[in-house]
Amino acid sequence: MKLTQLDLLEISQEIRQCYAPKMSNSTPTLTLMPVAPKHLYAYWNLGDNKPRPLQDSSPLPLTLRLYSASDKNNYLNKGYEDIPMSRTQSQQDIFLSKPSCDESYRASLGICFSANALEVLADSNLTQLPQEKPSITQVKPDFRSPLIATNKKIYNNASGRSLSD
Amino acid sequence: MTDLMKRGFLSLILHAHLPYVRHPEHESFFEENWLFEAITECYIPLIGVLDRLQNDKVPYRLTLSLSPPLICMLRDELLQTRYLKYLHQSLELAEKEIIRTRLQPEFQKLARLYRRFYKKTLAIYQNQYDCDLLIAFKKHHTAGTLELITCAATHGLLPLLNISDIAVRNQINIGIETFKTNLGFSPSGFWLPECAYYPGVETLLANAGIKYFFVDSHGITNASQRPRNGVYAPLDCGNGVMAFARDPASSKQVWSSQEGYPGDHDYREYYKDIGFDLDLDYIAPYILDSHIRINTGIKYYRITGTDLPKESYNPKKAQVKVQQHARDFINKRQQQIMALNTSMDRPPIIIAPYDAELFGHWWFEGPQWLECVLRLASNPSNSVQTISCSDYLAQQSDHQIATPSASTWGDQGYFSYWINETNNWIYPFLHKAEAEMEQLVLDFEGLTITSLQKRALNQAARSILLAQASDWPFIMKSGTTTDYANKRITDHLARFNYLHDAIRKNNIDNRYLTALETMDNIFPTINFWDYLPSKKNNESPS
Repeated sequence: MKLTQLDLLEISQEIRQCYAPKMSNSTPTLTLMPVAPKHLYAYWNLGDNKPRPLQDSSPLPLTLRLYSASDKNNYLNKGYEDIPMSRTQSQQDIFLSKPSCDESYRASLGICFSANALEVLADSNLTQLPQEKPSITQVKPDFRSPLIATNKKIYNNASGRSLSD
Repeated sequence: MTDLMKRGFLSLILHAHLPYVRHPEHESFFEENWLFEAITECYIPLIGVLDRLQNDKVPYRLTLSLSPPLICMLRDELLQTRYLKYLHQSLELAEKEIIRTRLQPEFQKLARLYRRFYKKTLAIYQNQYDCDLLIAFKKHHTAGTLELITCAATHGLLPLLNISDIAVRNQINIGIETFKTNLGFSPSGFWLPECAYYPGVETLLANAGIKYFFVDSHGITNASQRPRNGVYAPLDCGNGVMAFARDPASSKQVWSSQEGYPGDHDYREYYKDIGFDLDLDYIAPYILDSHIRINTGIKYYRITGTDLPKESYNPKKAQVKVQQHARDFINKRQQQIMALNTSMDRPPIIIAPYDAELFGHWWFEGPQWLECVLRLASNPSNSVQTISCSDYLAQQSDHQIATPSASTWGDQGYFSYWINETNNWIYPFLHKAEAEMEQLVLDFEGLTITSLQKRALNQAARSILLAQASDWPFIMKSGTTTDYANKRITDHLARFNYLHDAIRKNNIDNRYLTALETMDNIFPTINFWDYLPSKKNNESPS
């Protein structure tokens, strides 16, 4: 089957328009990702059916309960750290003040009804953060991606042209 | 200590990678110039260096990592044809410049230099290697001077794809398979994209037959055990796969735009290009859409100094600096090795990795410098011997066992450049697409699959891999061609969504599928069964 350039362009445009990525998930999910020592990134999707406490006008706090994956009983002396999470966003950076011994973490996202009780909405994957220790001075490359990082104005114009297809 | 043990080794590694950019749906596409510039200014000059060294029978060892997207683009017929057109245009412009500068002897001399440069480039590309640069690299690998290794399938940042083991496994395995298909042998070494390591990836590398990889300095200095030999000997990750660490000293001399060699005032200035300087009417045929100024590659000035009027480029003066800087580099490595030998239990190996595209593009004189360094290092009176990591491992046994620390060679040393406020939106979509692909393949296990379904499933796998390229979040953070990066990742995810939907509904349109296969034709031998969770390496369900 031979397709013309115009055929390819039209099909590409139609697919981009009709199938652009969007989040929809019937199953609540919580994902932890490593960023840097003591710095996690979390994103979540509580699904199509949010629990009633999250729909109230006087909402209860959304809480991330962070566990050390290997040291659940001793992490921060109570086995976990509770971190308030945004109710309006679906992602958040988390900065830890006191990392666990091996930097491995799991978490649960839920509604905190009392000091210890958490109604869990989603559980996370296991993630491991880099360990931070004193190290020798890092030399960061200054000449990175040389073919891409040049004249910003020109490349914006160029990319603008290619977006007009 | 014997004289042999007083020596040390220098392992120069060039990592050659560009994102997969190919747009058959357009007559021409600006971002394809990234490849064309790299071929002209980096890869062909490098091949020229290797050919000269071979002709002069200079003994050396150099390692070159070829990323799978680059391998595929170098072999692509459409891009080969478009590159020839680009090169002919460059040559035409150089010839016009010779005429235009006839009353400016300094510039005319440089215009003639560029004409010779483009003619030689054309001769090497078209006549000597029949438009297939992989032949050149393989020739030198076969000769025993160049060690070729590879990288992840689409240069995905593996620690951020590690929500799924299968995603990381496929980035590694499909990358190696692509290398093997095109070069005809399996690589021993692996370049982790951005040197992004996380504990455990060595298991997947071992399963894929890889013997060694690279991390940044702190990946080793922060390892699970204090490294006895610092960054000057590899660590065994516990499964026989070795981690080599970048040497900060040799990196700084080349990478730093302030202190490194490339910033020398006699070297060619990158930013003064005739594409920006000359009258629009004159330069129109050689810039974008006849009115958007872009680099042409023809530049007449030297760096000169900050806040000073730029002076004309003098290739002879630049060549003197090249020789000085090469000698300086080797001298410093000799001093390093002498100092290290007093405290190490084995000859040190200095790991000096660089992006291949630095040499010739940002740093026009880079390939000449590299050639000088390799010639100097080949002198037996030096205590520096160039080596590849494979050679080093063949000579040295009994390595310290430790797990490197999660790290990258990026800004701040970890993953923040690829996951921050400019680009973190992509990850939920990437992970979701991966999960959907795995579920889709699982649902097909044991069923009869039509040829159309097989094509669609393979194309869905291509879309996921292309979306996973770390280039897109990198560009988003660097703020350069952000519109293009956003468009690319959106397109690949949309194409996956379309295919996923069509496969699920058993409503695959052959015309649409053919269009996607035409536009995203990377990895022709891809096998969607690689996304099966229970699949082991090299097995396919019947």
